[in-house]
Amino acid sequence: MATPVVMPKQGQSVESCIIVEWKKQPGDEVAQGDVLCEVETDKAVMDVESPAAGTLLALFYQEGDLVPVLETIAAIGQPGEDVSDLRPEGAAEAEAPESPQAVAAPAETPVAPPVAQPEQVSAEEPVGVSPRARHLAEQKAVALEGLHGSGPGGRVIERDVQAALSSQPRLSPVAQAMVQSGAYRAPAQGSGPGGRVMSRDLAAAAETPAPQAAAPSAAGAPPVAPAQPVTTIPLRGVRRVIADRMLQSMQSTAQLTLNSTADARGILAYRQKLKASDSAWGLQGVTINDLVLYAVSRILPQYPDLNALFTGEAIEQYSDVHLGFAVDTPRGLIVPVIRDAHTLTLRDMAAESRRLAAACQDGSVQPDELSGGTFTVTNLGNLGVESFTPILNVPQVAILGVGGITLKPVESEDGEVQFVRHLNLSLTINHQVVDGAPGARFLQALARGLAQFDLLLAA
Amino acid sequence: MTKAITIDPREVRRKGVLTGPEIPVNAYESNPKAEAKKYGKRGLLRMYRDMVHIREFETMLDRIKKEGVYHDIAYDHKGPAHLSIGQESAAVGQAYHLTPDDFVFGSHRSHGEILAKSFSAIAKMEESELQAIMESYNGGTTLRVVESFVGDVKDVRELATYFVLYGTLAEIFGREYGFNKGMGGSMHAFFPPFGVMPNNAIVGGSGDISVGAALFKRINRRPGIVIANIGDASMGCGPVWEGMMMSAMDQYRTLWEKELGGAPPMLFNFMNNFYGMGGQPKGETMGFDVLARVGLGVNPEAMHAERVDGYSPLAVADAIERKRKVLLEGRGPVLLDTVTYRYSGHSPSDAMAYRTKEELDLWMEQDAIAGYRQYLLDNGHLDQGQADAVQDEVVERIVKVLTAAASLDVSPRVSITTDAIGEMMFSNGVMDRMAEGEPETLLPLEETRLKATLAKSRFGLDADGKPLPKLRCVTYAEALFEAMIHRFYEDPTMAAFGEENRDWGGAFGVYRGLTEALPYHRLFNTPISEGAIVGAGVGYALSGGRAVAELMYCDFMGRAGDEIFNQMSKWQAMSAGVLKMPLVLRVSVGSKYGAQHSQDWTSIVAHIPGLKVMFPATPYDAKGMLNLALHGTDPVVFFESQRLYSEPEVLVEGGVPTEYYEVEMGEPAVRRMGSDLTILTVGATLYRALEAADILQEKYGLSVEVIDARFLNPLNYAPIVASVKKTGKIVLASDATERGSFLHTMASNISQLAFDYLDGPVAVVGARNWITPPAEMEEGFFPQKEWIVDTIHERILPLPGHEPTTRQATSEILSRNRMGV
Repeated sequence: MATPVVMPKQGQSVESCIIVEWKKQPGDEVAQGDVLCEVETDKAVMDVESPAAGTLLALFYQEGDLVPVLETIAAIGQPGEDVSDLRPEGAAEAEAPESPQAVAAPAETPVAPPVAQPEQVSAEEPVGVSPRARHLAEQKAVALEGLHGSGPGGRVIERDVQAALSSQPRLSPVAQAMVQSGAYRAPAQGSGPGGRVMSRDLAAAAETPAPQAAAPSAAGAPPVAPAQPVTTIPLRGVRRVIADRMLQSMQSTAQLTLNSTADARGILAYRQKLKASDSAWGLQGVTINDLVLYAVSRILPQYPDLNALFTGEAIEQYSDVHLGFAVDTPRGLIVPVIRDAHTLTLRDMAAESRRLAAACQDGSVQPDELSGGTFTVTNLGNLGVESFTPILNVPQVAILGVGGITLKPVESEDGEVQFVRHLNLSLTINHQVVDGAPGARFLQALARGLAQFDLLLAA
Repeated sequence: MTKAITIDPREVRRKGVLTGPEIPVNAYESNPKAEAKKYGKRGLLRMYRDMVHIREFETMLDRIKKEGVYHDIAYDHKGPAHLSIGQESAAVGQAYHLTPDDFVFGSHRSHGEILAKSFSAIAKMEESELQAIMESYNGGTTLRVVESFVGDVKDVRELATYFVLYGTLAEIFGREYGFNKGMGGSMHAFFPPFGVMPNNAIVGGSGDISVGAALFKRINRRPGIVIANIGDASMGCGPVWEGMMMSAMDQYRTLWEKELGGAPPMLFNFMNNFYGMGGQPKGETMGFDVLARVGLGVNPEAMHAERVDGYSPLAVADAIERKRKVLLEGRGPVLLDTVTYRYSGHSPSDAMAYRTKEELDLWMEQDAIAGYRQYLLDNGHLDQGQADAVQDEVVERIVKVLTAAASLDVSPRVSITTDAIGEMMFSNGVMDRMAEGEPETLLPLEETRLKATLAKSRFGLDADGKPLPKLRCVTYAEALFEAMIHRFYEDPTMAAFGEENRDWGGAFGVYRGLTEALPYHRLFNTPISEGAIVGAGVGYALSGGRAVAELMYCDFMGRAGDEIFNQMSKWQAMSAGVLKMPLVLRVSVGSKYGAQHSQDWTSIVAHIPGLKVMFPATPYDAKGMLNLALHGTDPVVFFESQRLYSEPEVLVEGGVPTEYYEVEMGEPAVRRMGSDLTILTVGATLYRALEAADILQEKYGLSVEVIDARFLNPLNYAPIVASVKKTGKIVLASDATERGSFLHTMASNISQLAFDYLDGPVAVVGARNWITPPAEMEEGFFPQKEWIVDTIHERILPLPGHEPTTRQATSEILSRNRMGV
């Protein structure tokens, strides 16, 4: 009897995983514990190990397939064994050299393909568009992509195109005719009165390459750019999650970024002290970022407005701090979460951040370690960025961006101006639920805490 | 239902016993001397010659069907050929005394009757008359073909014999120069100028249609009698009984004007060949033993019933001569049980599993043609050489006729790549009167009920738009009355009949006032025989009169299924335009009366080719559309709504005109202009759609265009499509049950005609696919205004803040169909 290889359940919240790469092929001899394939959730990549020794008899899914957890994905046993009992219903047989009589592709995929939900604003063309809406969109040069459908089942109907039209720039009659001819596309803003798009704007826009407008250039140059080497990377796994989340964040919240600086002399001195400490203390590896994380974890509880999630219906404020921090990995941005950060010592926090960062880098981070954050810190200072506007990690309502340390002229009490090292901080808040003043007050408290880090440690 | 005749309990409760007249069985006794004197050698030989023609004609068809060749002429005939070999004497004997004015209607097995009746007419008509008929029929095209192959024939009767043989055979072969351009074929061929009326492929189909023809003759004082030649097995068919009941009504003698002449001259002749396909009425599938016995059950005269020996042409001729006299005296109807036998099978596919070779041989030993030839030989009317010459002459004719009819060059078919057949579906005529003459009436028009209706308010709202009392306004029912009385006073042929039409004035009072205005024969009550009501209408109309048949409830159409689906709808096209069908069938769509009295069956008749289907929803249209229907020459099923009879006109500005007017054929009416959404309705659902439009306007700011289709067929889709191009959204609603509703045909057409303009699917709101529940529960069955609004919300245009109260989502379509309800 062949042994099934099951898609492991990766944490409570994971329902399905994508098979990234099969490391073994049918016919390969495998030992128990050999890595059979790499699978990816929306948050991490993991290995699936062989549960038994034997020959890999069949793969039931191909690379790129989205497979529900606990589904059988492969079979291991003795050559010639029948594995048809193990084949999940509806699964296609991956190319298996021993079994040229592979079953036909299933009529239905085992799980719903990851299509955009109708109600969700997506950049893809909507599920259904009425003929009338499509006709109007063509006539008025309205892009259907990203339109929200208000018809039954999310169908884009005439009124949706009209709504999109009313938010577009007004066109002069001549420009209107030019657009309707199909040869021009209206820019977002025109040069006429009140931003009205004039014929000259269309002509100007046509000279710049527009993907859908066939520019009526005299030379009649082909609208297609000359062939260039292009690498096409399918959007999946972490990258797709990032893409969706970032867009969702920008489109569903009102983001406001506040900039400030903190006197960095205290933390720089303290960091020197840690570096020079006895290795037995285990403090030598503490980074400036750890100091910032520590400071945030201690100050944030005093500002519950910012340690919160916004569900769209309600604001959930937290007294505990579960602190997310951005980690740059080869697969993209990953945000692990330090649980109960407000209870950890600096040393423990530094150790935990180091452990999570490493886990993110090697893909061993567990899905449950990537969720549940109440506030996020992202740091680009070590890459030479002075200051930036972080994007909210929704449903969190605030994110702190840590920039580089720069010299800032400061006037002393005796009127003398001197240059002092300052750490650049930028705080993005969701202005829907967090007003500017509480955000500013938090930033101010944080800057003070960093400037007087030794006192903060004692607090 | 007449106050003129009292039902006296002393009389009907009196003790007694019923006796009936004796029914003669094969009573004819041959007297060669008397026969020689009566018919002369010429007449006796003509009968022989006619029988030989029929025998050879059908023998030829039998060979063509079974062997594909006759006298070296090969032909593959794909259609039917129900042969009557063995029955020739019954047909020829019957036709001998008939005049061209006498009509014979037949069955699927009537080739012999067509030829016999035609030969009889040829013998009796003036040569000039014969020539004129041949020259004019089908524009002379049939005659031209005949002339091309007969060679130099000087004798008009000889030419006419060829004309009949060719016209019949070309018809059987489906050729353009056949009697009905090939549209009738073997089972339906006929030739009215010789009194050969439609032959019917539905068993017993002629049983009630011919009654309508007999009524036409009596009511319009036309000469001649009408014979329905139907088979013994058709005695099991309801319409045959219904036809007998209607032809035997007492009122012809008790209530109709005496001078009119009594009962319609109707003869039911059962060609009793003892088989109904493979079933055997005598001894197996019926219980009458001798078919003529049935006459005893119909009237005190027992229908003057007789069994006649159909194997003796002289016995049959004698019977017809006597019965014709009875009929012309108004003492009908008559039943004849004409004994005969077919040697051929029911059809070429018949393996004769139901009878023995011995039985067949017994009959062939007594073969009518051989027997009659012997009679002629024995009595010196014929010698063997002459007999052989007759046979040779007949074969020669049939060879010539077959050669011409089989050739596609000489005898082409009607084009099926053009719309030639489509053009035959309707006559599209407009005729003030179907015949000249003074319409018979009892009152001057201005003294009829019209005086009262004309005096009423023609519009249902006052100057401020407030409703007037309904009794003060012309209603939908009265608007129909005005249309009826107008045509009654214009067209002398117009007759109306149905249940409760006279005295009561129709169950819903539409004919109130007509009883006083019209003599009995123009407006009369019928037995509860829906098949015969419609069938008689068909026979009346195809004989040349205008008929209005009425079925009280739409649901009763089921009882007249064959008459509506196969007769009323088909005869214009099956005659290739020879016949017209000015028959208006009024049906009333009910409500509140449960499952068998509340159905809208417009979809069923609209599905049948050859019918015009109308359903007015306002008094203006009730009059204008009935005027239109009563002015035309096509069959119209005219739907009315019991929800509307008492309603005045509130939609058409100015109300119901007092003068005559017509609504344009096939044109929908826009009842309310709008720009956001279209609702198209059929029938009384219009008013619920208008209420839905009010809700949509008031609560959701939608400007709704409401269109009343008025017509189902023909229908001009252009105004509907124009509306949909404007609004992009359309819902269709009617009280017909949703599955298979004609609304789906409309929806499909609209989708195809306006697809690029649609902003959502074309949605249909019909009644639930249930029985109609009791009156108190009807709002759960018939479309309500909420259903329309909810359908728009669920399927086409979600309405902000709208909370549906009924289930109209597309998922309902799936689940309801899955359940089959």
